[in-house]
Parts: sequence; structure tokens; C-alpha cells
Amino acid sequence: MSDPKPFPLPDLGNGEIAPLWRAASEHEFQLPRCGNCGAFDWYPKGECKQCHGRDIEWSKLSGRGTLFSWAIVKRALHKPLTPLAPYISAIIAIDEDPSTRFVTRLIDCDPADLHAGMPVEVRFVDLGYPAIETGIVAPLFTKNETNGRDER
Amino acid sequence: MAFKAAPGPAHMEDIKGKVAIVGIGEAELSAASGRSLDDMTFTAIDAALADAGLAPDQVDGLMFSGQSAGQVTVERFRAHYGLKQDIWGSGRGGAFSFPAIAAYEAHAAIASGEASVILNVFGTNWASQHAADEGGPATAHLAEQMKANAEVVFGFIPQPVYFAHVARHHFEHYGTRPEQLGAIAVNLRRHANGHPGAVMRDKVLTLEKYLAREPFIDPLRLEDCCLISDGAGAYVMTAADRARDFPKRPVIVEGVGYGGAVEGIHFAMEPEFSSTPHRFSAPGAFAMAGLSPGDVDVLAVYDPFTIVALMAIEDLGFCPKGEAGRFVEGDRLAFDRGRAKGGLPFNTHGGMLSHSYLLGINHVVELVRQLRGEAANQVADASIAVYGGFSGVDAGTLIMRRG
Repeated sequence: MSDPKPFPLPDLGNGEIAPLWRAASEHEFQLPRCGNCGAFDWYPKGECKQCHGRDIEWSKLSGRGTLFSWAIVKRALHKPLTPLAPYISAIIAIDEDPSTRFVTRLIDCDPADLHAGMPVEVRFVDLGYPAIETGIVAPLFTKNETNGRDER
Repeated sequence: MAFKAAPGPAHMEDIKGKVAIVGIGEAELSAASGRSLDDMTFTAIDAALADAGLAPDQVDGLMFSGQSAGQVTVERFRAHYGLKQDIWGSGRGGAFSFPAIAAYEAHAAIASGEASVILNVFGTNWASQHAADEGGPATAHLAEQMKANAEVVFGFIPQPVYFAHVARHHFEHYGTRPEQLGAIAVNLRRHANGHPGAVMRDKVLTLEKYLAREPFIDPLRLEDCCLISDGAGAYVMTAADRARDFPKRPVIVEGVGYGGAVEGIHFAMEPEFSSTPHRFSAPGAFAMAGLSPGDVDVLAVYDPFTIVALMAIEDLGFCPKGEAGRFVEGDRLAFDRGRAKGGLPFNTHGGMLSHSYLLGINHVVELVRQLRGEAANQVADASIAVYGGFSGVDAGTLIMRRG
């Protein structure tokens, strides 16, 4: 066996995406938004898709959303992710604009419980939670038991 | 005559009836074999030239995959055969969506007098690379900046994870069920079992066996995912009015279409999440051919996953959107059921799921065999065939007729 490959980490010096990770380290969920009309610019194109404005700002969000789709990865095919499996890969539709999606993982959820439209909320924990420690705080999501409206 | 990989359908000039496919060839298809990409690709080219009754010095055009590593380019082609003549070349050939639209660029080269006999070639040694833990299908995705920083770190990689999400979305929105994906896997395996060139020719798959397997990237099972293969394919194109000069019954290109995904390689952001760009490429191809899906005798689509095959069937217009789950049940996709009995002969060589992962060029080779009447799983009286090419970021549609 060769040495285990290092777990993939975000490039915190990458200007396009660094604010997401900087905000997460302060337990805030931020995405870029048009300063003129409020539309989200995710993934960043640097120009608003609604009004073509270029005044894009990273803005704090509620951290609530609904489950758009998910996959239960019992065996990671990308070898650096091996220690994470099994895990729940997930795409979230954010409450502020359900047409805006965020790729993340679901944590502390029973896979049998999941359905499209299930309310979820952000949890700021280590990117490798619960399997490994990376030292990077990430916006992972879990079922929202209290707030939120189940769309089903 | 160029077109852009922009979102939505591309405008393409009418090339109906202008281009013929007059020769096909393959190298042996296998799991990891250690064979070199060059050896396999030239084996396929030799076979295609022999099939067309051509010598290498009669070739004056070469299309290959400019985006894939290690392909036979014009320089290597010339050097291998010791050729002196000018050879027109294009890196917008090979595999993925390009086997569907290679005839379009070939026609432009023929019409302008730049070339008259054009090979489209593709080879892969992904199986050997995979065995050595290098390269492979995820390479381009891992290299993309947004994905590296906002997807890979969350475990959203590689393609089986993407398409497990897509399958789940299709299940939740349209009521599609695992056993319907299983029907695709089972019918294609049966086709491979009857095909001497198929990698899975000796491995039987029943729906019971499919369902007994636990999903490994839920909802996908191993049999929902394509093979990773070594092999190569090639075919020869020329002007349709010259097609009768060649020894085999020609196949005539009747329509081509092309379309790009709205969000490109960012599959997670695609507005119509459980759809493919086949919905953009198919209408133009059918309009050019003056045909509809009901006229098609045999269909082959780029099938990296059962869910992609299922979406292609609906996005190409063979059933309404969302209804392909029910459509593919039972033996509807079997080569021997046929359109007259409500069937849709589909990936009759076994597709990427059970024949080989040659990224689509072998799908065109198989359809040419069907239209010549020389296929292993021959569809009775096949006269119209369609290839649906796909890469995730784009799709191409090729409509062919028996010449």
C-alpha cells in the first residue's frame, strides 16, 4: 500500500472563494450577492445574472435551506476522501433564494430520514467532521428540527 | 462552419445527405491490459482502412480528441505510416459528443477541398491508468478551480457522486425507481452477452442480482456505472456522392445537432438538474433529417451511468420528460423487440455499461454495423439509427440512414 493521500483542503488564498472559508471560520455563512438587486452570484461570475451589475458583495445568510439532492457515499472513489466514508454528500437550496444551490455534506442525519425539501441548517464544524481533523471550519448542514417549513 | 460550446442549442447549417461513413474499425476492448495507446489506436485505424478498402496514403483528413492526452494527431499519423502528403486535421473529433458532430466539420473540410477521406479516431487506456492510480475520468474535474475549493473538499467528486445526486433528484421528482435503472443495466448486459467484442460478454446480470447488490454511492449500484476500459475505435468519412466507390454498404449522415449545458462543468448548478443537453441537441438534428424519434430503428447513447441513459431517452424525445423510468421497464430496450412491438433497441453492443468505455466512438461503430446488417445483435431491417453523444457539458446528436 502507498501512503494515504492528504485530505483535500480549500485554497484559502484563492480570492474568488476565500471569503466563504473566512466567514466559516467566524461561524458565518456568506455567499456573494449583487449590491444592486440582491441576486446571488454563486458560483461567482463577478457580474449579476439579473441586472448585470458588478457591485458584488459577500453577505451573511441565515444558514437555513432545504435539501435539494443527496448521495450516500459508502465508499469514496477519490482516494484522499477515503477516511471520510461513509458520508452524505448533499446539495442545499438556500432559503433566501431556493434557486441558489450550495454543495456541502449532511452530518448527524439518519440516511433513511432524508427527503427532497427537508429543512436543513448550517453547522460550523471541522471540514473532516466526524472522521478527521483538518483544522478548517466548514459550513456543513444538518436536519433543522425546530424552524423551517417542510416542503413535503 | 464553426460552432461554440455555448449554453443551449447551436445553430448548424444543413448537411443532410452530404457525408457518408464508409469504414469502421476497433482494437480489442478490455480491462487494464498494459497496451499502449498508440498501438491500440493504430490497430483500430488499420481495421477501419481495411474495411473501407483504403491504403493509409489515401487518407487526407484526421479528426481526433484535442482535449484528451496521448491521441494520434496528424504528426503521429504521418510519422507512423511514413506519409508525405498534406493532411487536414481537427482536434474537435474523437469521442464524447464529437462522434455525433464530426461529420459536420468533415463536411466543411470536404466542401472547401481541404480533405476528401477523413478518419475520426479515439483511443483510451483509462483502465491501465486506473489500475496504476493515475489519470482517469475525474482528472479535468479535480483541476477546475471552483470544484477544487467548493466541491472536492466536501466530498462532491468524482462522477458517480454527481450522478447519484442526479438519480436521486430524478427519483424524488418523477418517481423513478431503482429497478427501472436496473432494467437498463440488465438489457445492456444481455446485449453484451451476445456480442463477441464486449468486455462483459461472459458475465450474466439479472434484475434480481442487480437489486441484491447494495448501493455503494446510494442510490447507485456498481452496475449503474460504466466500465473503465482500454481500447480504440475509428471510422472513415467521405462525401456521400463518392460512397458507392467503397466496398461496404455506406451509411449516410442525415442530421446533426449540438447543444451546451447552461452551467458547463458545474453540474451541481445546472438549472434543470436531472436533464441533459440532449434536450438542446436533438431537435435540430431531427429537423435537419426531416425525421422524428418515432422513425428511429436503433438508438445508441453515451451511457456512463444508467441514469444518464434514462435521461437521454427522454431528452432525445423518445418519451415525455420524467416518464423514462416506466418506459425502460421490462425488455423494451432489447435489440430483438423492435419499434413495431413498442420497443426501442438501445445500445445493442452493451454500451459503456457492459460493452466498453470507449467514450462513444464505438457506439457509432456499432450503429454502422446495424445499418449494414452485420451487427451481432442485429435489429431486424434497421434503416435509421441515432447516436446521442454526451460529455456532461455538452451533447451531440447524429442521425444516420442505411445507404
